[in-house]
Amino acid sequence: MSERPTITPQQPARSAGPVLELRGISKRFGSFEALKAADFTCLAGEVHALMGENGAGKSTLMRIVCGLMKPSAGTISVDGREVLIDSPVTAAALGIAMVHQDTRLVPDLSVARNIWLGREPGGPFGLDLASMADDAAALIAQLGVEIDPARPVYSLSVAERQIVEIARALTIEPRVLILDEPTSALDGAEIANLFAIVDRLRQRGTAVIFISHRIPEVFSVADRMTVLKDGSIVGTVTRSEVTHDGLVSMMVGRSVEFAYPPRGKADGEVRLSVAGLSSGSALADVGFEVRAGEIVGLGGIQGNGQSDVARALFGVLPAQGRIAIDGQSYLPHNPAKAIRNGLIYIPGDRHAEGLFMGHSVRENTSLPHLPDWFGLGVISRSRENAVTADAMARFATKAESAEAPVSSLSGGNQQKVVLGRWTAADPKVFIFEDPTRGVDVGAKLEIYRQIRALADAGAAVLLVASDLMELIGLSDRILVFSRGRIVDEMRGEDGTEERIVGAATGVGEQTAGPAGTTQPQPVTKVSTGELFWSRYTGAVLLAALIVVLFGVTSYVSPFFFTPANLSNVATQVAPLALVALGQFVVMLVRGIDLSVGPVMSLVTAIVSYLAVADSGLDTTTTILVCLAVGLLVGLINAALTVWLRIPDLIATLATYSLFYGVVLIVRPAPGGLVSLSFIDTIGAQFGWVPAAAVASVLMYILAEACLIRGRIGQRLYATGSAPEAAAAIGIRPALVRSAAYVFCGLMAAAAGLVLAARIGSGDPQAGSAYTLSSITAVVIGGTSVFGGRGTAVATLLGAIAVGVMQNALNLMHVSAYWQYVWTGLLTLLAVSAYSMRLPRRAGPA
Amino acid sequence: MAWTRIRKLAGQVAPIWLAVILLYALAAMISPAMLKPEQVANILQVAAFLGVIATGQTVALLLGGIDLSVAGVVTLTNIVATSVMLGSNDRIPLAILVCLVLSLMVGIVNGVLVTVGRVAPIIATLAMNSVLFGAALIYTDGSPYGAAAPAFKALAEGRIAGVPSSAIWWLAIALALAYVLRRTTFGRWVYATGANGRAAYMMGVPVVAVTIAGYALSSTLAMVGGLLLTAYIGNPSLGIGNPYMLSSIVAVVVGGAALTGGQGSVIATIAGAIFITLLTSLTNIAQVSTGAQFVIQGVLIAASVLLYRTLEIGGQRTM
Repeated sequence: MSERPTITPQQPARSAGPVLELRGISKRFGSFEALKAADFTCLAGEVHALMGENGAGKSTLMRIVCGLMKPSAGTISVDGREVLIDSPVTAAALGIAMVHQDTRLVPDLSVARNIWLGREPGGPFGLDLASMADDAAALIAQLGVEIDPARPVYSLSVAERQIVEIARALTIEPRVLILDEPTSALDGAEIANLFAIVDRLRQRGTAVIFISHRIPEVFSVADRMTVLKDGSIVGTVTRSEVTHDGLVSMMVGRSVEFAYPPRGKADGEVRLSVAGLSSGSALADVGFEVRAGEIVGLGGIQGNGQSDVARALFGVLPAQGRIAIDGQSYLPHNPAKAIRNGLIYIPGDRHAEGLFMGHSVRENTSLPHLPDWFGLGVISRSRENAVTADAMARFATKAESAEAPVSSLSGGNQQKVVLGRWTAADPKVFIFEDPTRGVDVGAKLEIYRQIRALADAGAAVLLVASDLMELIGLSDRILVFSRGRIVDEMRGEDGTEERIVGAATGVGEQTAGPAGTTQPQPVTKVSTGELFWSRYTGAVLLAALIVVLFGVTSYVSPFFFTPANLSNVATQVAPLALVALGQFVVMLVRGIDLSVGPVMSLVTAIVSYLAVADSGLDTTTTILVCLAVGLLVGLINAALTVWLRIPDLIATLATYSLFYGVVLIVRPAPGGLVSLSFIDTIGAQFGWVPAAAVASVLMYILAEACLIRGRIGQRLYATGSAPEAAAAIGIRPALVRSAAYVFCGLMAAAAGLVLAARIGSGDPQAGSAYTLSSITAVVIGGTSVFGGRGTAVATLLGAIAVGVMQNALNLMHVSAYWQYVWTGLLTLLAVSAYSMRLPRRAGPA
Repeated sequence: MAWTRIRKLAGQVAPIWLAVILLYALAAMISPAMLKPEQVANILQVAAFLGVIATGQTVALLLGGIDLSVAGVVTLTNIVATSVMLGSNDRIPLAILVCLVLSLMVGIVNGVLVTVGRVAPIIATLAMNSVLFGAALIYTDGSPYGAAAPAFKALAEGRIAGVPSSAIWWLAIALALAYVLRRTTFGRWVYATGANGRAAYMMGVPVVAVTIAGYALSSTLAMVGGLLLTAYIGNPSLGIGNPYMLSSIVAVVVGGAALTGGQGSVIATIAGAIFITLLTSLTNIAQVSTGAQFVIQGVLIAASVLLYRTLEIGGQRTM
């Protein structure tokens, strides 16, 4: 205990009335009552711990306070005045800020930009970047740490991200600061630093709500504690009037022993033996054995290697070490091999990794056994049905039938489907991770009984549980992890929360971790050069490519570098550049617009009717009509994708067909003669330089400036990079995405105008190649198809590269047909090259 | 037991089949000639090409992907098959072999790009389509030559008991694939990979191989559709495949496949192909222009996505 960071007890700095008062807050999700008339009061200058087991309702209550959820009933008062908090923006205006457990930062933006996101200083088109950086550095320094505000957030450690989130919360000078399980991913030194920060905030009179289920931590930091259980408030106590045991009994409210099945004898043969298991900075020389009939719990603070052991054994996390199952040496490679060797891993995140929600119980049960039972061939329905019925009977799974989709089952029954699936065969080693996450109490007991039954039947069981009570109650033996090492081992009956947490956090000061996480990290400063390079890699590569193209082509064909030809190139590039800018903005927010090609054709058709010699409309009116069409197109695309939530690809494929149909109705074959005044206006030239090309370049410069210095740029990157994070700050991703589609529609219309002036008539096929080539221009500039990353400059260079290449091949007398081939190949090459560069996720996504 | 199974089956595939019946009734009201066996056979004949191609597209969509390169595969198949055959029966096997190899290559490259290269399927297959179309142009230098052999034309022109033989090919292929997808390990892997690739991987499914095989299947069926089309038309024609890029997707989508993968059925796509073909011939009777047909197609895509989503609120469909 003594080596854990503590704060000297202190009276609340200012004894004032309650800052925040919640009365009778209830929240229902369908038939599930997450909160039942909860009352909660928080005073200025106090650290108030909100405690309870997983699923007790802590996070739900706090989400209501900061405007991310609406309560079903109840009132909230701030400073004694009743308020309605309907969005994160309202909450911020009232001085309420929350630091989320899974940090809500935008990975692709810098620290300073994240801190000020949503309330940037300076005008909408002139962010005060210097003061953003200075103030961010000052805020971070206030917290007693140093982080370069220019660093992108994706390069930060978890602890650093948390600091940045706290700094961001401080920008609104919060009256109430909510920290949601802030220590879950921190090591001892980092926790000590965090507690020092909390203490500083308390002294400034901020009310800090500290959500945690770690008792020792709470005792060292909180003035008062409120305990939640199953959605109800059990009580509020001050630190001096409660003991550890008292708090535990408030939280669990039942005898710990009662819930768990009796332990086994665990004296079988060794089934699983692991020695010298290491993996990067995650695991260091881990070794242990598990016997038949034994349940071994892996405990400690979350994220200290427990789950990594499971993933390494299952072949999902690359690792080195000696592993044997039943004495047979086993080298993990992938899940398929692990399963063949009788080693099963049941991940905690059922929805992401364990179930096929729309598929039936039967299909979910039999999937991993199919090759075993039937090879690659025909499935015997009767055997499949029998196995499923048996699995459902053994676990008393409640489902309408074996054909019901698992999405219609409760959390507990879903977990029973997972258990039934794996026990349909006879594995040797089971690894459970948080087997009762999101499961109600009744089903929990049943699952505990079943896990024990598996061990009793002779399996070796590894249990990774973030709920320490569960770990202690179920395990025969507990291994405590800290920074990738086993630091303590105890028998299950000797385990206490204090001992496990103590062992997990206490050793930090004595031994260095595998990656040296305890040493103060040298402050990483990023130079302007690095920043430039990381933003403009694609642009620089493309610029080089263009220079090479210029060189080679001028060498082969002297005509290339003449004003006449360069003018020609610029005329060709202008429409592509314009439409690519629209496509770029849409792709920046994770969308795609396939309809741009037909829209460009449509505009040429409209121009060929409106701007005809003698009888036509004047050029300005024609331009305005066409831009209005572009606006309408953008609104239709936005309506389908954003409001009706049709996937972007399918929605714009539908509008592709729609607008193409409209062009064919309007102008079934090329025709119409565009007036000379229109051609002269749109196709005007400054010397040999076409005005449209100049306008395109200016548009790009403007766009790049907006991306760097404009609020709109911040919103686009945030929406594309992390929509949930953007929404948590009060940015409305739906609005940003709609705006992107509208902009793209306008740009497609503008490109269509330029194209009409060039070809001088209406043509239903004029724009058809631009759907792909606009995407090509965007992706060869390095814009990520997953959104949030990319620059306008690189897109312009992409468009230029495509245009120059086309021209160069023409001059070299290469058939125009080749253009289809090389645009396709260039796109494929660029996208695969750039996507390989992005950090890999574990296993195929 | 049998009754519940029938009812279940009806509940699963009803919407699109119901739509087909209603549309047919409407067509018959407008033009009673639609009820003549000859006219029915005609519809099946035309639906067969789309049907085979859309069957492959179903696999791509089931995997959570999309295959826009089917258009290029159909065009290239048409060009290559006729130019290799040159109207001679002896050269039929060679033509088919060349097309098969080409389509397999295309499918495998698509699959590798999507899995190993991690390229978004839409971009990978759109780019591939461009490459294939360009290849067809370069190969023919813009003026295609050659012709289908007489024996080859019989593949599509014949009738068995009044049913066009291309329709028989189509139904045989679709039913066989439906069986494979529903009743074999490989089929379950396809559904699992599409529904939740991460979970499928964690359950030992070889997701990379399954995805590559799925795209190969899609390309190969597009090639078969292209061969049947070539047998029917008899001549090479540049861009003959272009309409199928959109219509194959429309057929699958009106059949109710979820665009997120893992939900949908080849059987429903049969109905989808009939529906689209019926609609086209209805618009032809009504003398609606090609442009209006594209408009209808676009509206149909968006409307069916919304309609199926509304239907799903009542209960999840698994087929």
